[in-house]
Amino acid sequence: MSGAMEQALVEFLAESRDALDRVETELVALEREPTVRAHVDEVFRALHTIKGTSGFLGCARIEALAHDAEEVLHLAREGRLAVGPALAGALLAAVDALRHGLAGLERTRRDEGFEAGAARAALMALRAGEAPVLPVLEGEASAAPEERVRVDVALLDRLVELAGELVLVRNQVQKVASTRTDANVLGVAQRLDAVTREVQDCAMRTRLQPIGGAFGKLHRLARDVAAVCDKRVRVEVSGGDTELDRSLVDAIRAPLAHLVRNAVDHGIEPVPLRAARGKPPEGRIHLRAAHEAGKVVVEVSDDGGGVELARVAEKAIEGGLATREQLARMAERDVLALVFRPGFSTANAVTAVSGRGVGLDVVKTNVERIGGTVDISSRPGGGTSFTLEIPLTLAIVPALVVESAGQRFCVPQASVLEVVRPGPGALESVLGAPVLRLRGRLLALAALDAVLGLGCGRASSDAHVLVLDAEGKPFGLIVDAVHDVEEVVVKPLGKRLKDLAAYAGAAVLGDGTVTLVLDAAGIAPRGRAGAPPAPERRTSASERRLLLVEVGDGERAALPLEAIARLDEVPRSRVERALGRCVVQHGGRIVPLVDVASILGARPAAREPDPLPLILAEGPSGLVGLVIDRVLDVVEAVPEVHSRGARPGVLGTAVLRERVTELLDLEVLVRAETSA
Amino acid sequence: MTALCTFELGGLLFGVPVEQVQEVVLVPAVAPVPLADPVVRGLLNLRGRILVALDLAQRLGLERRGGGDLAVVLRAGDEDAALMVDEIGDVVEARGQTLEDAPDTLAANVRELIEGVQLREGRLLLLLAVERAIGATAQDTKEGPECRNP
Repeated sequence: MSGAMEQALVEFLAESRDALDRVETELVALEREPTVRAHVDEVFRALHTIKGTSGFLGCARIEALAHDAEEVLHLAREGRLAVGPALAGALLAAVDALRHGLAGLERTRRDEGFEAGAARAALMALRAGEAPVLPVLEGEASAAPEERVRVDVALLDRLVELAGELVLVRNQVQKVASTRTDANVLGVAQRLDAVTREVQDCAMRTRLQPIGGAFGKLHRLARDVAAVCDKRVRVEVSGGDTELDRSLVDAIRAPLAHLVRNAVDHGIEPVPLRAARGKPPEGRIHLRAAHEAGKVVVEVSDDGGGVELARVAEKAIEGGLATREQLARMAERDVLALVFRPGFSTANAVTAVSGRGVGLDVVKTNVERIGGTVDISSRPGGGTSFTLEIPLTLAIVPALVVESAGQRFCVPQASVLEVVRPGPGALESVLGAPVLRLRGRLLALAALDAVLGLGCGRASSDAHVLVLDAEGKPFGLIVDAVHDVEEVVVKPLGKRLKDLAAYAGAAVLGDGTVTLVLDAAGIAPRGRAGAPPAPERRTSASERRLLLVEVGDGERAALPLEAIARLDEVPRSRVERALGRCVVQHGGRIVPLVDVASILGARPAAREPDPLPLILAEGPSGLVGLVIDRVLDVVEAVPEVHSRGARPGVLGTAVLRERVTELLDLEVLVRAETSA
Repeated sequence: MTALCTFELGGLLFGVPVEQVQEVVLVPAVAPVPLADPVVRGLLNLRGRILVALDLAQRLGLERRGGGDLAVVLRAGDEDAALMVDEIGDVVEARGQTLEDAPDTLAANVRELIEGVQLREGRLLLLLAVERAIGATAQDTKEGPECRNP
């Protein structure tokens, strides 16, 4: 039996049982008050429904019995049959027989194994005006014990909420108990722990629903959209029994519908084109759901034409989302990801189906709102696939408790990439902006107390740096101390506080104190560390942080900051010659030097600097030192490249800080050689 | 209008409809919220629920008397907040008293949070506009959207 039928059957059984109970009561009342119309109507309705649904489900026997009972009642309603003990008796016998039938149906999922004959005969006799012989049914048609009950959703929600509170109280008890030595206390605390875990588990499971519920309507949706677009589409589903929280199932209905609509409208090609491409005329959309490592993964894939990167690029340029130069430098998946930007649409015409530009960004927002992520991958000509990842539970998250300026805060562990304890002097600064060198890369830093306006950022001796993930870009957060990891319930901040981008919510710790839960993206540095967080999201594709330097005789150049390992200076006297190259010894390595000025053909500066400023960057076989004249500044800019570089080593020129600046091509420079 | 719960703040007498008062609590410790409007004294834990504690004295141009920990938990719609007060007064009936517009002698930033006044035994009873009070900010004398962070 298919999933949908099974569902229908289960509901039929539950409803029919209730209905028959009511019928029974009404029949008894009818016998006492034969003239009260309502009793008859109620019984009639119930039998009619049972007849109809059982017929739909293919339960012929039940249907036939219900039909006969309905007939008899109809005659009684019209006054052609007397309402009396005979009628009531025959109908009650029918009710009993129906109950037997339902019980059998539930056990075997087939309509069989019950004797409808006697009850039907009694009913027929009644119709013919004869005295019915009422069957005596053996044994009670004991309904199988209820497997399902109806519960008020609000009650279930309250239960889940209370389970969450219980977990927190349990945590508090454990904290207190750990300070005691009384074995009784410890034993009880342990028992509380075990029971609480189970309560939490069960409570969460009451909220679980199969995701198939969200898949249900998509078949029809695809069919309707395909009809409008004059295409042929089939939807296949797998993993529909994957369970997730009820609210999440509701929340993804709309995004899934959107993706399916999108796939039919844009993904699947019209029949003739598919034929030309050697594909079957019917396009296929596959919905797949599965549990993977604490998340639910939902995939919507089609075997259509895939996403044309060139068209995405064109539309991005048209929509002002990126410049041609930026696009040229972007990885393929970043270009693809542009489809999630607001206002993006590759539809040449505004179709009735997909509208204008209100598209995948809505999907992304909705999925992210429930804590999930959405990703796209595509094969040109081969199809497109959207992958949604949704967290399994929302309620309790592990969080790292940290302290700054005497106050404690929580950071969701999911945002923490690592915790670093920098030794003294490891925190460097690139022109006032503190950075941390971590395994060869420069990590922008922010001090939590400064970000929150709490103090002057005096680094404590216990200072730690949390490497946090802010929407894919890591940065370091300096805190005074790191305490332990706690499981907390993150509660949303009220209306008046939710605009504060720095916070994701608030939580009650095990000892009852309230702490704010930080939002990594909201506190990430936007430029100089200590700048207040900007509420808007940064468009990471367009802005870049560039190191501005002076090369040769006052010429300006710039390189991307993220590509630089570190900045340093070496006295000229330490420059040596080896194998025809200038090198220095640095950090135990031999670092070849590259004279940027000569590569660019710049005029040498009037006065040669000593010590030599170096930009250290990773080359093909190790660190390379790029010799410049002066480090000027770090700028955040959207460089508008004016002319493509004609010289190797230069990507182009742009105007930065009102001066013409050459944008250096690091790839070329680290491979250049400056002979001694 | 039904009964009013009254309280003293900065020497003035305020009243709020009893239906909008959840309870009166002592607020010994709050977690301050850096970057929030100064009116937000902090967050408190009320039997597992997290509430915002508001100190409107500054906003109203008043000075708290007693500096105690008393707060009235107010509710408007689905927003609630704990309002710091100096003293709790009696619950009084609202019947029969005429509602007047707030007199001009009251400072503008007080008037904005008031729905009207009544005269009670020679004292002005200021009827607090609960929803506006819960959403009030420190400086602007215009009610408007929440202060966004720069």
